[in-house]
Amino acid sequence: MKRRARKDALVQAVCIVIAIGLLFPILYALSVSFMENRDILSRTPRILPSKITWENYRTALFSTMLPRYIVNSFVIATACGVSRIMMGAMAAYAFAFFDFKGKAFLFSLTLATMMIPVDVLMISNYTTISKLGWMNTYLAVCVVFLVNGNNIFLMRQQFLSFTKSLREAAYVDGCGSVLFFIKILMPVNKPIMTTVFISSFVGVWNQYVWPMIVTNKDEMRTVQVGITMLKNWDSMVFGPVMAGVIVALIPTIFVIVVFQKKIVAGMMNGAVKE
Amino acid sequence: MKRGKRFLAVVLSASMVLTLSGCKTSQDQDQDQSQNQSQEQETVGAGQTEKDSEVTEIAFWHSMDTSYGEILNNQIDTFNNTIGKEKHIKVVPTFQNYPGTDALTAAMSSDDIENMPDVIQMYTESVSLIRDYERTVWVEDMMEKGSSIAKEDLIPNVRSSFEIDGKLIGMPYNIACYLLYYNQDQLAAAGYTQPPKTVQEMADMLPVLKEKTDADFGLNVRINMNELINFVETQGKEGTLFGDNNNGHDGYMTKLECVQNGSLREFIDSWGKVIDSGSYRAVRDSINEEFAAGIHSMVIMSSSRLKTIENLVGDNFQWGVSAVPVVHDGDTPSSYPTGSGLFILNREDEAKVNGAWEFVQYMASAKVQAQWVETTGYVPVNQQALEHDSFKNVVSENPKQAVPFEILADSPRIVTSPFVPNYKEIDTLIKDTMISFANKEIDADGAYTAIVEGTDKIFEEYYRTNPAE
Repeated sequence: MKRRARKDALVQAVCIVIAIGLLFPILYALSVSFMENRDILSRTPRILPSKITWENYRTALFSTMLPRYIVNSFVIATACGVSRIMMGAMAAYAFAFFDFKGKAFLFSLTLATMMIPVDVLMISNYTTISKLGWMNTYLAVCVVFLVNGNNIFLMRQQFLSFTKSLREAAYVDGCGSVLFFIKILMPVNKPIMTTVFISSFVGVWNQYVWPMIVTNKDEMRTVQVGITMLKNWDSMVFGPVMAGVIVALIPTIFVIVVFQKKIVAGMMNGAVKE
Repeated sequence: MKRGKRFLAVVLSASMVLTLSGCKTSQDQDQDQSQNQSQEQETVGAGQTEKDSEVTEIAFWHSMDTSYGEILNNQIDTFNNTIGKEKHIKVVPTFQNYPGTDALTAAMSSDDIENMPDVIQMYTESVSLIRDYERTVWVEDMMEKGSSIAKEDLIPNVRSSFEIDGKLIGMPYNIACYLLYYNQDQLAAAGYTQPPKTVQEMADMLPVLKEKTDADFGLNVRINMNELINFVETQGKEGTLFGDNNNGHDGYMTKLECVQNGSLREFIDSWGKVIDSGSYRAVRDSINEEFAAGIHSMVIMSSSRLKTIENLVGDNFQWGVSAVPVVHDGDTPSSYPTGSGLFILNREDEAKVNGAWEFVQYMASAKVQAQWVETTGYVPVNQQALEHDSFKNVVSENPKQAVPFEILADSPRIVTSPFVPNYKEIDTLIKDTMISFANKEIDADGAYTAIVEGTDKIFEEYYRTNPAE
């Protein structure tokens, strides 16, 4: 028993060390964001600030329009996340449960979109957006991220593992395709929906080039563009940049922390029959 | 049932968010359009006098961040409140991250004049993008129509850096040169009263500096394309070309002239002595801060950092700046001009082109250019700035601020910023090769061959996809 406890403690200790190692860059960024310039530049590197300063946060938040950029990024990332779940789930539902002419071709087409590099499409997408008169709008930034072939594939694979007899039973009970999708399929597959939302949110949140080229008004810029405004062409101003990075990380961490519970809860559903 | 309703509510809300986010701005656009239409109608009704008082909005894209961005915005505010007010011009700045050409490339590809700037700040390495573009308005053509700035007012090699076939394509705006920054206290401790004049002298000093001071390295500089250009072009009394066709200023640059004239080989051989000194750091981390902390006795970097260094060093030690050491005894201590210029684009609106020209002239005026030395290490490109009080005051208080100007003013005219068509690839090749050379992974022959063969390949690939006309 004692031996087992010792083994558990060792495993825990190793896990903690690995976690600290992985988290160190973020924790150090957090520490630097509170450091005065002389601490950051001291010849012997400092892990912790000798004196906590909020000046870097003031610079990050007020020398650029960072709060506005965060709101922009949040609206865009949320809209894209929700859209990807909706569109992706509906497409995946059709691919997984229905038989129709051209299904294999359409699915191949969906998979093919995953193989085309985004950069190749950037100019043609820009031309479309500009001709539609959508420049400098949220829609211009969102529209290319609203549907994702990867998400459709992921959800289709998940739906395929869903027993068809349950769907037939639902039909027998008078539940149509739409109700089955809304009331049974979607709630049961919460973990995959959450995974899609989180990956989409983080992916869109971190976008840089596309939001930069379809917006040429400062107030329409996103948070990643805002952070580049904090850095200096000639020298690295670590404090404000790290403060900006930490502020930009908060919504992403919030989304992950909140929705992570849903993944776990979803996985546990039906795991034990009581 | 309750869950279904909740789901429907979420779906509908999401659709609304999406629609509103698009529609809101569309509504805004509609409002703007209707406002513009009503404004236009009012103007037509009110006659010519009011039409004249319409404000011409100039879209200006720039890449000036943090403190430089503040200086730029102040310059724009002053323009808008003075000349702009008088001539009904309003400049609206938009930040585009360096090199500032991503959005322009997209707009050019689709000829999207609605979303193009009237004036763009671009670094010389990006000039290849617009040199053949039909919407580029050549500054020389605008000067011929009437200008408050004469070509002769511009520092000769700065002017040449913005010329193609002797014609100005853009107006130099924020220009710097390469400098040797040295820790005077550490040099004195090592027994030197003057900074090195040649690479050989520098190589001799490095081990002594390391031995006799608490510096970790005698010299820190990462040799990228820009640094290499400087060492190559400053060879000889009258300078040497880096690229063919007069550094790409008379026709396209298709190969390295420095291979033909031997200046590349000369530099690599002499740089080997610096590497062999054992007191040279070839990679760059926080070069400003490390110099200010006394880690390096000497660093080579742009003059634009003068004020940054001044603020970082404070009263900790005495320091100075001089021309970058030259490869041979007898070479002219000089520098090629680095930095950016202002370029005008024609968006099929003559009023905007004229307004843009007013703005460009203002930004290159002696008054605005003289202000650079107050807060930065940029060089006033307009030589008339020398007569300006603000320049005189700053230089008399702090003679270091005059050094970049003196170096550029004394530089031979052919020591220009080359128009390298695919500078990113060439820059990476040179940087990686020179680091390998410094780490002794390759010798001087290897470094030379890698640069020569690598650049040949890069040029060949570039012109295969972008044939020279």
